[in-house]
This record gives sequence, C-alpha cells and structure tokens, in this order.
Amino acid sequence: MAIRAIRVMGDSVLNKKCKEVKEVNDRTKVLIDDMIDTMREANGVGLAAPQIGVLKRIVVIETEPENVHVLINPVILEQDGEQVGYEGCLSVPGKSGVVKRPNHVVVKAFDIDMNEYTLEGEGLLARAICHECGHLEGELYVDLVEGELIDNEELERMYEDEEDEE
Amino acid sequence: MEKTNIRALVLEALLLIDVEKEYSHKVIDMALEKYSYLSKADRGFFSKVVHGVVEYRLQLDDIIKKYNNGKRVKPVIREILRMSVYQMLYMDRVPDRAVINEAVNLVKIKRLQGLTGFVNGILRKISSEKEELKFDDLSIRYSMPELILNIIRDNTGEYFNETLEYFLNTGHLSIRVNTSKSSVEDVIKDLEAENINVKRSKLNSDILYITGFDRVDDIEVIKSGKCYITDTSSSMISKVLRVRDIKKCVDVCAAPGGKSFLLADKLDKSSKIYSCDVSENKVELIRENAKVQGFSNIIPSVADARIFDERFSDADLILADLPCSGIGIIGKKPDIKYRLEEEGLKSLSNLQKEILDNVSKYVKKNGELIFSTCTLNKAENEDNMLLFLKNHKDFKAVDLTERMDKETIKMLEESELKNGYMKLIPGRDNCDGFFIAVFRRDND
Repeated sequence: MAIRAIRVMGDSVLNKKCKEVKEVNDRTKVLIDDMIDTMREANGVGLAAPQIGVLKRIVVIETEPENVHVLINPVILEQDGEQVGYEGCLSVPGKSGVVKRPNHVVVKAFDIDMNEYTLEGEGLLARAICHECGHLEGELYVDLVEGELIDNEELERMYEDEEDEE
Repeated sequence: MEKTNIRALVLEALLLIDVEKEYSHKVIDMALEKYSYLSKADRGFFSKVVHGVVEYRLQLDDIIKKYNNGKRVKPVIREILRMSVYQMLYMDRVPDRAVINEAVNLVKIKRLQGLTGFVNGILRKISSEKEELKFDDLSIRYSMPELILNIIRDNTGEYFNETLEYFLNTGHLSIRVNTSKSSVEDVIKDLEAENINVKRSKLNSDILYITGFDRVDDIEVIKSGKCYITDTSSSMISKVLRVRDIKKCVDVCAAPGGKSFLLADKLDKSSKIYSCDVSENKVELIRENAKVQGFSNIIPSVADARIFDERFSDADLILADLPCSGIGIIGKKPDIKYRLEEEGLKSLSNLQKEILDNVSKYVKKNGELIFSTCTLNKAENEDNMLLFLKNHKDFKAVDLTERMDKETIKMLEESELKNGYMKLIPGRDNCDGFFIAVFRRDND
C-alpha cells in the first residue's frame, strides 16, 4: 500500500487513451489498493489509473465513505437526465468549473475478480462515473466546462484588491 | 474527481455576500442549485452556517474584535473566523476541536499558511471562554443595528424582546393551502406521508407550519400547486377581504404572485384578477406560478404602479402590497437590517404615498383598497394610512371587526381593527411583521 504521485494537467499521460485490462494479477491488485489510498489521501471521490501515470482502464470511486467501487474496463450503457454543477479534479488542483452531466447512468464493468457487474448511479455517483471514465479516454473535465474555469487564487486576489481600496 | 469541501463552499458564499454585496438568500439558493448532488446533511449545514453568520454578524464581529485587539484582518480570514465562532456558539453538533481544525485547514487551502497560528490561537481562546461571554448591549445580543433596533422598539411595544428573539429563531416554513385544489386535511395527510412535521397556525386555518423537510422544491404539495409558500402574516389579507361583488381586482405589485393566488382562491372564480409588476421577468414568474396553482382567471400584466393605466379602471378591489423597508421579514432575510439607512426609509415612504395616490384612482365607488407592507415602521404604515385618508376624503377606513370571528379578534388588537388596520407582530403572533389597512370608496 502506498500513496502515489498524482499527475497534473500538462502531463501528456492524461491525454492518452488507456488499454483494456486482460487479467488481474498481483501487480494490478497493488495498483488498485494504491489508487484507493491515493484518492483518500487527496480528499477525492474518484480516481482513474492514468492520474497516477498508469494507462490502464481502471477506476476507483468512493462517493460515500467506506463504499468503494472498483471499475475495470467500464462501459457506460445508459445515461439520462441532467445535472449542472461545479466539478473539480485532483489533476487540476485549485480550480473548479461548471459541467453538465447526466443525472443517472448505468455502467458495466469488471470487479477485482474479473466478474462482470453493472452499477447504477444518480447525482454525485453518476457525475463521478462520467468524470472518471473520461480520464480513460484521455479527456479532462476542463474541456466540458461551461463558462469559465474558476481559479481560487484569482478570486482571492480580487478580494484583496477590494480591501486595499477601502 | 475532487470532493466538494462544504466549508470551502461556505467561505466562498460568505465572501460573495460580504465583499460582492449579494443577498444571502440568493447566494444560498444559487449554491444549492449548482451543487444539487450534495447530501441532505451538507445542504443543511451550508444553509444554516451561511444564514447564521449573516444573521449574527454584529455579535460575531464584536467577539472577534475583543480577542483580536481590534486589528483589521483580510476578508478571507475574517469570514473564516466568523463562520467558526458561529459554529462554536450556535451549533452543538460540531465539537469545537473539529471547528478549529477545519478553520486552520481552510486557511491552508487559501494559501495563507502564515496565518494558521493566528487563527488557531484566537479560536482556541474564544472556545475556552465562550461560556462567559455576555452581551449587555441589545444591539450586539440580537445583532441588530441601532437604527433598526429603535424602530422595532417603537413599533412592537411590550413584544419588543420576543420580536427580536423571533427574528433569530424562526425555524419553520409557513405554507398556505390552495383550498381551490385541496382541503387542509388532505394536505396534512400528504405532508405526513412525506415524513414532514406539520403544525397549524392559530391565526389562519389555511396556514401550515412545516419542519423536517430537505428541499422545499421537492415537497409534493408545493410541486403540485396544492400549497404556496406564504407567511401567516400576509395570509391575513384573506381575513379582511370582502368577498362578495368583486368582479375586477388588481394586485398592483404582485410578483411572485402569492397574494394574487390568495385572492383567486377566496374570490369567485368568475372574477378577473390583474396581477401586475414592473418587469417582464417578474410577470413571467407570476405566469409560471399561476399555472402551477391552476388559476386561469389571473391575468399577469406588466405595469408600473406609479403610472395611471386605463386597463385597471373601475376595479372593485385594489391590492397594494407595496415595496417597503422589510423590517418584518428580517428573520428570513437578515441582510435587510444592515442595508437600511435613514435616507432610504424616507424615500420608501414617499414611494408608497405616490403609488397609493395613483392606484386609488382605479377604485370604483363602493370598491375597496387594501394597503399592506411587510414592515414594522409607523412612518411607512400608520402615517401613510392617515395621510392617505386625509388627502382622499372619498375613502373611509373599514371596520375590520365586522369581517372576523371573535377568536381572531381576540388574538389581535381590537382598537386597531375598528380603525381599519391590523399589525402582525412577530413576538406576539409567531409570524413575520406585517401591516394591513383597508379603505372603502364612498358611494356618493
């Protein structure tokens, strides 16, 4: 078990398409454990393998504490509804932006024993599934942002300027 | 994907309110819509802290000033201190240790590492001494600027302290049953089926007080138009209404429509109700709400209440619920108390007078004019009423005791009712502060 370094935007690994997982061996299991640790340490609700530099179709999601979903080779089967809200990414630190996502998705994936299962998600879980599956295609949410990406530091400077004028 | 840090969200909202001067209820609504996936607990925490920090701002700043020797701090640090002190004083659910840790964490997120010690120190000190905090000054205790405090004192008499308490602890939402769509009993059953707590208002049997729900917009009886969010205070208009012989009625400042729906519910369905406001946006809002409520006799119309408009002549009833200082609704919109100034109050009185003078021309003989505000300020209420009666000799105040049952009269002030008006006082009536006066145009 270990915490691995999270790659940030600009790192080309984040723009590449990931490869299918053929079998889960001991190395894959260690990778998945590390992904979970890294996600928790970074205060995330989801993490995709390319975010720690591994180009494999693996995603971990934990939108509710202690309920981790491991999705290997995930495929979104259905999506409907709509939710519009702010989203942030561990690979794009300090920023957030408004992204429109389906409010309900059904995804097919394999678990850690390579058994196929389907997972249904609403609200935050649906958002996280879409966000993480995007990573496997080399996509970042910043390309989907409506309006501007908010930079927290910029916001901060704005408030301080105001203070100086008083 | 990154987790939404609910405390960072609170901080952002507070900065919008304090630095960008946005209204807190708007910021809360906006954020809850944007972050619709937040859990019920997170949404509740967010609303309570943002509303509470604005509500208690004077008191929180007074405490912080004492422990900070009056030094000025950056807006970000000021808001972090305010939200933390508020939680330590008014939210038992989060232990102080956790509040302080989260505060320090926020300072780090904002990349102000150099100030973690300062924030940690001041919050620890306040936490250890909070039981001894005393507020002798009423303005600090109730976080109410002196100007407003004095107006409330002059207008609530023996219910002064209770009124200030009510503003800080409203705690329920008041909804009115659209009796054209459903009975009160059926609505109560529907609400209880959704696990929502219901209490009935003593003053108006159509009004229910509800608590324990998550999102207002998700409540079935509201979605279906069986109920509309209306405070007991403004619902009292239905008690003073002369129902018979009303064919044409104009609600001159109607958006978002609550009082027009109350009229439509109580008046004959063949009556026409012109529901007016100044902008197309506001009128669109009335149109949408009227559709949900199911009233086809409401005619949403863009109109400026200060300017004579031929369409509204020969009306049997004019409802003039006018722009006002809003002192009666400070419990719901705490921003109001920090924004009012003497100048603004005066110009509001003048605006009300101007509107009353104009809309009184629409009232036909034997027709009536209802004047109401959601404020507790004699200069806007009683003074304007007397001035109106003095300048318009053809109008007389209506004896309201003739329109109400004995039980209701007992709960209010009989001498006021006899003289054509009523005041709703939060500390006595457990509702917003409100004023209603009714005038009739003579037959001759």
